[in-house]
Amino acid sequence: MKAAARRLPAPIRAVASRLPRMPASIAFATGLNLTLRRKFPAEVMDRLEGHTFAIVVEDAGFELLFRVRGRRFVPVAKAEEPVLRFRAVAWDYAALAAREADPDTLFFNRRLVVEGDTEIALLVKNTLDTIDIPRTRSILRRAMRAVGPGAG
Amino acid sequence: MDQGVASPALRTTRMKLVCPAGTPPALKAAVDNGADDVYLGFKDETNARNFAGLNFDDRSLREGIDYAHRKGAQVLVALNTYPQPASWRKWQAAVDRAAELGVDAIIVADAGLLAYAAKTHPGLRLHLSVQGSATSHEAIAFYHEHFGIKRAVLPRVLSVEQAEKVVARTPVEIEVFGFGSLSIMVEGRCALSSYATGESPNTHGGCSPAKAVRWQPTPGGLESRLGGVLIDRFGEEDHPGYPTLCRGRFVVNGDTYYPFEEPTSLNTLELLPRLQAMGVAAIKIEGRQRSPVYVETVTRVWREALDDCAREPQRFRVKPAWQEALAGISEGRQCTLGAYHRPWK
Amino acid sequence: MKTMKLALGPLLYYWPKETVFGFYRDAAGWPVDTVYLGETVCSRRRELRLEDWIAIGRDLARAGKEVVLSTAELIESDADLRAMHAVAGNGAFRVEANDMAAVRALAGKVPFVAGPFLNVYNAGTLRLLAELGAARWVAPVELSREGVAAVVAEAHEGIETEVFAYGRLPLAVSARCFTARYHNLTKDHCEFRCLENPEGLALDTQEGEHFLVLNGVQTQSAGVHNLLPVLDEARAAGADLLRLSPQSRHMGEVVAVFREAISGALAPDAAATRLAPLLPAAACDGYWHATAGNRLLGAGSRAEK
Repeated sequence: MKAAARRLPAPIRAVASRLPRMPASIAFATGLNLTLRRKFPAEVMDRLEGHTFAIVVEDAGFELLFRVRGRRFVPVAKAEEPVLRFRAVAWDYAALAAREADPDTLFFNRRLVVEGDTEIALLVKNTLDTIDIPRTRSILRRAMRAVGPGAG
Repeated sequence: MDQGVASPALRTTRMKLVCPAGTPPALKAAVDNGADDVYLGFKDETNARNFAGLNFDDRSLREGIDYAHRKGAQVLVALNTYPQPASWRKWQAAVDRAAELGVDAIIVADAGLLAYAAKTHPGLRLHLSVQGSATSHEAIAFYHEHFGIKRAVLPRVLSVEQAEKVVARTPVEIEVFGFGSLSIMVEGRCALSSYATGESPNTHGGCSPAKAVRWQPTPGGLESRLGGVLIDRFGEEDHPGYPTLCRGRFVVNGDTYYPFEEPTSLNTLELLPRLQAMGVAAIKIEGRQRSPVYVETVTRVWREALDDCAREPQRFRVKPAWQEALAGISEGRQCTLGAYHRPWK
Repeated sequence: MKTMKLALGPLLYYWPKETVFGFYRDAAGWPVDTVYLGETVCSRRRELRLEDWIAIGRDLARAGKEVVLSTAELIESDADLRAMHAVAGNGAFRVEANDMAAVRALAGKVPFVAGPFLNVYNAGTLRLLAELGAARWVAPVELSREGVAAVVAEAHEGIETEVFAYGRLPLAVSARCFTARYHNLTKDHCEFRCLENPEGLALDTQEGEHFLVLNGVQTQSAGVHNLLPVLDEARAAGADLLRLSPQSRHMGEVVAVFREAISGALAPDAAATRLAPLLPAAACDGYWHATAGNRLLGAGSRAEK
C-alpha cells in the first residue's frame, strides 16, 4: 500500500501545469542562491559543479531544472539529461524542507523517487541535513499548518 | 569459566539512551530530545557510516561536544573500521584528535587500534564497537583485560536469554541495539558488500558504497543494483529498502524470495523491562545515515519509553502512539525483534 | 626463496559422517602439508564429535600432516563456549582461533593459529596476537595482495602467513540459518537440511547471475576464489601457506595441481588448463587485486581503482 500523499487541489494543479517552465526555474534557482548557496560547503558545490538537476513536482505537473555553475545555482531551459531527478508532490517537498518528513521514509514509501547518480543524491541529502535554517523551516511549518490537512 | 551475577545495584540502574548523529542538526535533535549519549564519526573511512556529506570535522565536532555537554549529554566517536597498514596513521591520528577534542569515549573495533588508544591515551574511555564481533562474555573479557574497555556493544545475533547471560558475567557495561535497520549478518563479519563492490564496512567504512549503487526505473519495475549485481526489482506496490545485498530478492532453486531478510526494522520497545532487569547499561539507536527528523522522532519516543520503564517497570506498556511514530520512519513496513526472539533465527 | 606450503582449510559444508571420514582418508594421501579440522560453521552440525575429528587428526598426523583443530566462527550459547574450550584444550593438536574468546582461551598457554575471522587487517593487531602466542595468521579474505604484503612487512619475524587461495569464499555469518529459512524451517528445527547439499544452496540474482551460496548460517561466494595464476605474487607478498578450501569433488586433483605449480613441475598455463575442469563454478580473484571479490582479473593484472 502506498501511503497517501497530499496532492494539490485540482484547480491549482490545472493552473500550475500550464505555467511556463523557465520562469519557475529562474525563481527556484534564485531561491536556492538566497537560501542554500552560502550554506553549502564550497567542496560540495565543487562536487556538484557542471551537473544539472531536475525537481519534478508531480501534482503540479512541472519540472524545475537548474545547474550548478561557478558555485551558483543557475536555471536551465533545455531538458538535458540531469545527473539527478527528484519526483514528489509539492506537499512532500514542503514537508522535507520544513523537516516535517524524513527523506528515507518518503523514499521507502515511493513518495520520493530519486533517479540518477546515487552518490551525488546522498551528498545532496546529507548536505541538506547538515544545514540549519530554522527561520525558513518555521515559516514553512506555519504555512503547511495554514493550508492544513484538508489539501487534497 | 568465570561466572558471577550482576550486583543488585546494577539492576536498578537507569538504561542510557544512545542516539545517532550524522550531522550537527541531528546531534542537536538527539540532545534536545533526551539522548544520554550521542555517537558520531569523522568525515572519513575511520567510521562505519562513511557516506558523502555525512559526519563531523573538527570544528563541527567541537561545537557538537560543547552543545551536548552544556545539556548534560555525552559524545562518543565511532572509529570502528579496520585500519590497514597504508592508512594506519590516519586512524591513529583520529584517535588522537578525538582525545584532544575531549570526547567522552571512542567506539573501536580493531584490536590494534584499541591497543594504541589504551597505551597513548590511558584516560580515554574505550567502548568496543559492535564491529568487534564480541558475542560472548569471554570475548568481551579479552578486550576488557587487554584494553580496559568500559562498554561493549553486542552484535545483533544473541537471543534475550543469551544476552542476559553475557550481561550477568561481565564487569563491562553492555549496550544493545534497540531500534533501527536490522543487520542480518554478524557485524564485523560480513564481506557481502565488498564481494560486489570492493568496499565493505570493515575495509572502507560502509556497506553498499553509493558510487556502486544504481536505482534504475525499467519496464519491469524499479531496479536496485550494487556493483552491477541486481539486488531487487520493485513493482508499483513494493517498498524498497536500503540497497544492501542482505535485503535483496534472489532466486534459490527457482524460488524468488528474500533469502536473508525482508526490509525490516528492529524494534525492541516491548523488551525494555526485561533488558533493564537484566542489567543492560545502554540502548543504542541505529541510523547515523538518517535525517534529523528521524533522530528527533526516535529519540523522543525512546526517551519517553525508557523513562516510563525506569519509573514503573512492572506497569510498562508500549504505547500505540510510540509504535505509530516509529513505524512512520522505519525501513520496511514491519518491525521485528530480530535475534532477541529465538524463532527469528 | 622458500617454498609455499599447502593447507587444506576446515570443511565448511555438512556432509554425512562416512563421507567426511572418506574425504580425510583420501586427504592423507594428498600432497598437503597442513590439514585444518573441525566444525566451524554451525553448532547443530553433529555428524562428527570432537573425538571423531581427533581420530581423523591422528590418522592424518601419522601420514605426516600438520593437524590443526579450528574453533567455531560464531559463538552464541554456553554450549558453543564449552565446545570452543574443548577444542582449545584438546591437548593433541594445535588450534586455530576464530574468535577472541578462543584467543583468550589459548593466549599465553600454547602457540596457536590466528584464524581468518579474527579481522587481522594491520600489523598492530598481528603484533598483539603474536605476543599472545600466535605462530601463524590467516589473512581475512578481503585483504588484497598489497594489504597482505604490508602487514607481513611490519609483522614479527617468525610468524607464518597463510592466505585463502582456493575455494568459495566464506563471506558472512549470521545468527539466522538461511538453509533452514529456504526450507521454511527455524534453525532449532532445521531437520539438518544442510546434509542435502554437499556444496550449499546456489543463490542467483533475478537475472540468472550466479552470485552466492547459502551454507546454513554462513554465506559464501558463488565464485571460486583462485590464486593459482598468481602464485608468484602470493609468494612475493609473504604467504608461507596457501589455504585450499574443501569441495565435494576433485579436491585431491586440485591439491595436486597447486603442488605441481608451486614446485614448478607444472608451467602456469598447463596448471590453469588442468585446474579449469576441476572448478565447481566460475573463478574469481578480485579481492587479491583490491577490487570487487566477484571479479576475475588473473595474472599480471592490476585493478583500476
